[in-house]
Amino acid sequence: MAGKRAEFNFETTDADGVTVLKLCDARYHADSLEPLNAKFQEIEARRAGGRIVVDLSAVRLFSSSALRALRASHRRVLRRRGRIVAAGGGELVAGVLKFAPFIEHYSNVDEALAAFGGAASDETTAKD
Amino acid sequence: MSRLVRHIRGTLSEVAEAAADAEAFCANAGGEESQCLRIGLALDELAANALVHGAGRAVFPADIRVDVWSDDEMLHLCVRAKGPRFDPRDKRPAMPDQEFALGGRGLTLVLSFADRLTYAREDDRNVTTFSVLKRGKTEEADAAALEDGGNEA
Repeated sequence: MAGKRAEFNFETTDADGVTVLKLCDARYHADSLEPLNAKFQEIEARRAGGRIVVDLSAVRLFSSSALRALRASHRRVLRRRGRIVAAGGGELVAGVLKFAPFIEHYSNVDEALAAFGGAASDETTAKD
Repeated sequence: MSRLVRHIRGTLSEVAEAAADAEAFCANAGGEESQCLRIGLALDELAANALVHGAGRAVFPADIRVDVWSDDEMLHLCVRAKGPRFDPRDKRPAMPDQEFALGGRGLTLVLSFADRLTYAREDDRNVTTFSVLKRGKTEEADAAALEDGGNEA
């Protein structure tokens, strides 16, 4: 059923112990579950992985499959006493995230970083 | 009246492609972006659900037929799939939070974003039709509707 594996683009930025993971594509349909799971697990394994902002500012469509991947990551991070929050996204994304109230959702990355106590310096960015 | 028809045989990538086509079709039909996205999301949820729980299990390759069309006011999506009877409007037990990662809330999203949703059983197929207004309701319109309702009561 999986068929060809969908490819998605991500950007990661580390700042003061917080990893910002930007989801760079506009649409995350059912075929995004595995790629998102893999990316979240990769980020969680990084040094700063316990404190994560998922930047959804480029996202217009976030399916229940994508939400499932985010929730799974949320649970793993919580078990490690970490924290993962979401930021930004279009109107439909906000509507979808209302069904996952346990995931904190900020209107943009700056607000999310502020919730971690601020993290704006010494940034390093990676694209893949 | 033009109509978009897609057949999904068994992969999630086909679902994503059909959803993208549906969005483009709806945009050409004059749908607001947010409403076109709702059609794409509903297609994704309904077809993926049918693949995983219905048509994809019973028969492979599956044959899920997707139709998208519009009228003056609304955008419509119809998903026809073989499988056990499955009415998305049926009440289901609330999902415990800890099981969220194992299950999904796709149907809840579909119900939430629909302006109208109908279900029919045709032979051995589930036929679900999801419709949204071409132009989304504004907060002002909601407030006006509420006020009208209040006046009638």
